[in-house]
Amino acid sequence: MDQLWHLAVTWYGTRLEPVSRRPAAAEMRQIFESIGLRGDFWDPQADSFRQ
Amino acid sequence: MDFDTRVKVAIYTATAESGRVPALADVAHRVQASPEAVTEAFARLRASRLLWLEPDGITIRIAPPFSAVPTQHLVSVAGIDYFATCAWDALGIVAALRQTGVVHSRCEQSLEPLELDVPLKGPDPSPWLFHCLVPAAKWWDDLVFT
Repeated sequence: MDQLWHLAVTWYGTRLEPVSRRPAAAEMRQIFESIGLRGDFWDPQADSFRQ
Repeated sequence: MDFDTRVKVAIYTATAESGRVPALADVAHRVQASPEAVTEAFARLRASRLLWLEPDGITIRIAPPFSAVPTQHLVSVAGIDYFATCAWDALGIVAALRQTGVVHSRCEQSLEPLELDVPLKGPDPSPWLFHCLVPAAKWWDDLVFT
Protein backbone atom coordinates (compact mmCIF):
# COMPACT_ATOMS: atom_id res chain seq x y z
CA MET A 1 0.00 0.00 0.00
CA ASP A 2 2.92 2.34 0.72
CA GLN A 3 4.29 1.72 -2.77
CA LEU A 4 0.94 2.39 -4.39
CA TRP A 5 0.39 5.61 -2.44
CA HIS A 6 3.89 6.76 -3.42
CA LEU A 7 3.09 6.12 -7.08
CA ALA A 8 -0.27 7.88 -6.77
CA VAL A 9 1.26 11.02 -5.28
CA THR A 10 4.22 11.05 -7.65
CA TRP A 11 2.10 10.54 -10.77
CA TYR A 12 -0.94 12.59 -9.91
CA GLY A 13 -0.15 14.94 -7.02
CA THR A 14 0.10 17.93 -9.36
CA ARG A 15 -2.25 16.70 -12.10
CA LEU A 16 -4.75 19.53 -11.62
CA GLU A 17 -2.07 22.19 -12.03
CA PRO A 18 -1.12 23.77 -15.37
CA VAL A 19 2.50 22.64 -15.12
CA SER A 20 1.66 19.00 -14.57
CA ARG A 21 2.86 16.37 -17.01
CA ARG A 22 3.35 12.66 -17.15
CA PRO A 23 6.81 11.57 -15.94
CA ALA A 24 9.31 10.97 -18.75
CA ALA A 25 10.74 7.49 -19.22
CA ALA A 26 13.92 8.14 -17.25
CA GLU A 27 11.90 9.69 -14.44
CA MET A 28 9.57 6.70 -14.42
CA ARG A 29 12.50 4.32 -14.04
CA GLN A 30 13.84 6.40 -11.17
CA ILE A 31 10.44 6.49 -9.45
CA PHE A 32 9.98 2.73 -9.76
CA GLU A 33 13.51 1.97 -8.60
CA SER A 34 13.08 4.23 -5.58
CA ILE A 35 10.38 1.91 -4.27
CA GLY A 36 12.08 -1.32 -5.27
CA LEU A 37 10.38 -1.96 -8.60
CA ARG A 38 13.12 -3.00 -11.00
CA GLY A 39 13.59 -5.03 -14.16
CA ASP A 40 12.16 -5.00 -17.64
CA PHE A 41 8.58 -5.25 -16.40
CA TRP A 42 8.88 -1.75 -14.90
CA ASP A 43 10.98 -0.29 -17.71
CA PRO A 44 8.75 1.93 -19.89
CA GLN A 45 11.10 1.47 -22.84
CA ALA A 46 11.90 -2.21 -22.48
CA ASP A 47 11.89 -4.22 -25.70
CA SER A 48 11.32 -7.52 -23.88
CA PHE A 49 7.56 -7.37 -24.26
CA ARG A 50 7.46 -6.00 -27.80
CA GLN A 51 6.21 -8.31 -30.50
CA MET B 1 -0.54 29.47 -20.75
CA ASP B 2 -0.54 27.76 -24.17
CA PHE B 3 -3.71 26.42 -25.72
CA ASP B 4 -3.12 22.74 -24.96
CA THR B 5 -2.46 23.57 -21.32
CA ARG B 6 -5.68 25.60 -21.18
CA VAL B 7 -7.57 22.62 -22.59
CA LYS B 8 -5.95 20.25 -20.13
CA VAL B 9 -6.72 22.52 -17.18
CA ALA B 10 -10.32 22.91 -18.39
CA ILE B 11 -10.74 19.13 -18.54
CA TYR B 12 -9.34 18.55 -15.08
CA THR B 13 -11.13 21.51 -13.51
CA ALA B 14 -14.49 20.38 -14.88
CA THR B 15 -13.83 16.83 -13.71
CA ALA B 16 -12.74 17.88 -10.23
CA GLU B 17 -15.79 20.11 -9.84
CA SER B 18 -18.38 17.59 -10.97
CA GLY B 19 -16.94 14.09 -10.85
CA ARG B 20 -17.65 13.74 -14.55
CA VAL B 21 -15.11 13.98 -17.36
CA PRO B 22 -16.42 16.74 -19.68
CA ALA B 23 -17.59 16.42 -23.26
CA LEU B 24 -15.88 18.20 -26.13
CA ALA B 25 -18.52 20.95 -26.24
CA ASP B 26 -18.08 21.71 -22.55
CA VAL B 27 -14.32 21.98 -22.91
CA ALA B 28 -14.71 24.20 -25.99
CA HIS B 29 -17.04 26.47 -24.06
CA ARG B 30 -14.64 26.68 -21.13
CA VAL B 31 -11.66 27.67 -23.29
CA GLN B 32 -13.74 29.78 -25.70
CA ALA B 33 -12.50 27.92 -28.76
CA SER B 34 -14.02 25.95 -31.61
CA PRO B 35 -14.69 22.22 -31.28
CA GLU B 36 -12.25 21.65 -34.12
CA ALA B 37 -9.44 23.42 -32.29
CA VAL B 38 -10.18 21.49 -29.10
CA THR B 39 -10.27 18.21 -31.03
CA GLU B 40 -6.77 18.93 -32.30
CA ALA B 41 -5.65 19.68 -28.74
CA PHE B 42 -7.19 16.39 -27.59
CA ALA B 43 -5.05 14.57 -30.16
CA ARG B 44 -1.89 16.30 -28.96
CA LEU B 45 -2.73 15.56 -25.32
CA ARG B 46 -3.30 11.94 -26.31
CA ALA B 47 0.12 11.88 -27.97
CA SER B 48 1.59 13.24 -24.73
CA ARG B 49 -0.14 10.43 -22.85
CA LEU B 50 -2.31 12.79 -20.85
CA LEU B 51 -5.65 11.60 -22.30
CA TRP B 52 -7.06 8.34 -23.62
CA LEU B 53 -9.69 8.95 -26.28
CA GLU B 54 -12.46 6.81 -27.68
CA PRO B 55 -11.98 5.80 -31.35
CA ASP B 56 -14.03 8.83 -32.44
CA GLY B 57 -11.17 11.07 -31.33
CA ILE B 58 -13.49 13.53 -29.61
CA THR B 59 -14.70 11.62 -26.55
CA ILE B 60 -12.43 11.37 -23.54
CA ARG B 61 -12.45 7.89 -22.03
CA ILE B 62 -9.73 8.48 -19.45
CA ALA B 63 -8.20 11.69 -18.15
CA PRO B 64 -5.79 9.93 -15.82
CA PRO B 65 -6.55 9.23 -13.01
CA PHE B 66 -10.22 9.92 -13.79
CA SER B 67 -12.39 7.54 -15.81
CA ALA B 68 -15.22 8.93 -17.90
CA VAL B 69 -17.16 5.69 -17.59
CA PRO B 70 -18.25 3.86 -14.43
CA THR B 71 -15.77 1.34 -13.06
CA GLN B 72 -15.52 -0.81 -9.93
CA HIS B 73 -13.31 1.86 -8.35
CA LEU B 74 -15.48 4.63 -6.90
CA VAL B 75 -13.74 7.41 -5.01
CA SER B 76 -15.64 9.80 -2.74
CA VAL B 77 -14.00 13.13 -1.96
CA ALA B 78 -15.75 16.11 -0.36
CA GLY B 79 -19.19 14.81 -1.29
CA ILE B 80 -18.36 14.19 -4.96
CA ASP B 81 -18.02 10.71 -6.47
CA TYR B 82 -15.37 9.96 -9.08
CA PHE B 83 -14.58 6.82 -11.05
CA ALA B 84 -10.99 5.61 -11.35
CA THR B 85 -9.56 3.33 -14.00
CA CYS B 86 -7.64 1.13 -11.56
CA ALA B 87 -6.56 0.89 -7.92
CA TRP B 88 -3.48 3.04 -8.59
CA ASP B 89 -5.67 5.73 -10.12
CA ALA B 90 -8.17 5.47 -7.26
CA LEU B 91 -5.47 6.63 -4.88
CA GLY B 92 -4.33 9.05 -7.58
CA ILE B 93 -7.67 10.84 -7.48
CA VAL B 94 -7.29 11.44 -3.76
CA ALA B 95 -3.71 12.61 -4.32
CA ALA B 96 -4.70 14.93 -7.17
CA LEU B 97 -7.55 16.51 -5.23
CA ARG B 98 -5.39 16.81 -2.10
CA GLN B 99 -8.24 16.06 0.26
CA THR B 100 -9.19 13.09 2.34
CA GLY B 101 -11.20 10.47 0.50
CA VAL B 102 -12.75 7.04 0.61
CA VAL B 103 -12.15 4.40 -2.06
CA HIS B 104 -14.92 1.89 -2.65
CA SER B 105 -13.69 -1.03 -4.70
CA ARG B 106 -13.54 -4.81 -4.68
CA CYS B 107 -11.06 -7.63 -4.38
CA GLU B 108 -10.60 -9.07 -7.86
CA GLN B 109 -9.77 -12.49 -6.36
CA SER B 110 -12.73 -12.90 -4.00
CA LEU B 111 -14.94 -10.14 -5.44
CA GLU B 112 -15.58 -8.98 -1.88
CA PRO B 113 -16.21 -5.25 -1.54
CA LEU B 114 -13.36 -3.14 -0.20
CA GLU B 115 -13.52 0.25 1.46
CA LEU B 116 -10.38 2.23 2.12
CA ASP B 117 -10.11 5.50 4.02
CA VAL B 118 -7.41 7.70 2.53
CA PRO B 119 -6.25 10.54 4.78
CA LEU B 120 -3.88 13.23 3.50
CA LYS B 121 -0.85 11.21 4.59
CA GLY B 122 -2.04 8.20 2.64
CA PRO B 123 -3.79 4.98 3.64
CA ASP B 124 -2.77 2.93 6.64
CA PRO B 125 -0.78 -0.25 5.99
CA SER B 126 -2.91 -3.15 4.85
CA PRO B 127 -2.40 -6.67 3.47
CA TRP B 128 -4.16 -5.73 0.21
CA LEU B 129 -2.09 -6.12 -2.94
CA PHE B 130 -2.14 -4.18 -6.21
CA HIS B 131 -1.76 -6.54 -9.16
CA CYS B 132 -0.21 -4.99 -12.24
CA LEU B 133 -0.70 -7.36 -15.15
CA VAL B 134 0.72 -5.33 -18.03
CA PRO B 135 4.41 -4.32 -18.31
CA ALA B 136 5.11 -0.59 -18.23
CA ALA B 137 6.26 -0.50 -21.84
CA LYS B 138 2.81 -1.58 -22.99
CA TRP B 139 0.51 0.41 -20.71
CA TRP B 140 -0.45 2.89 -23.40
CA ASP B 141 -0.94 0.27 -26.11
CA ASP B 142 -4.43 -0.14 -24.64
CA LEU B 143 -4.92 1.92 -21.51
CA VAL B 144 -8.42 0.58 -20.90
CA PHE B 145 -7.12 -2.99 -20.75
CA THR B 146 -4.13 -1.94 -18.65
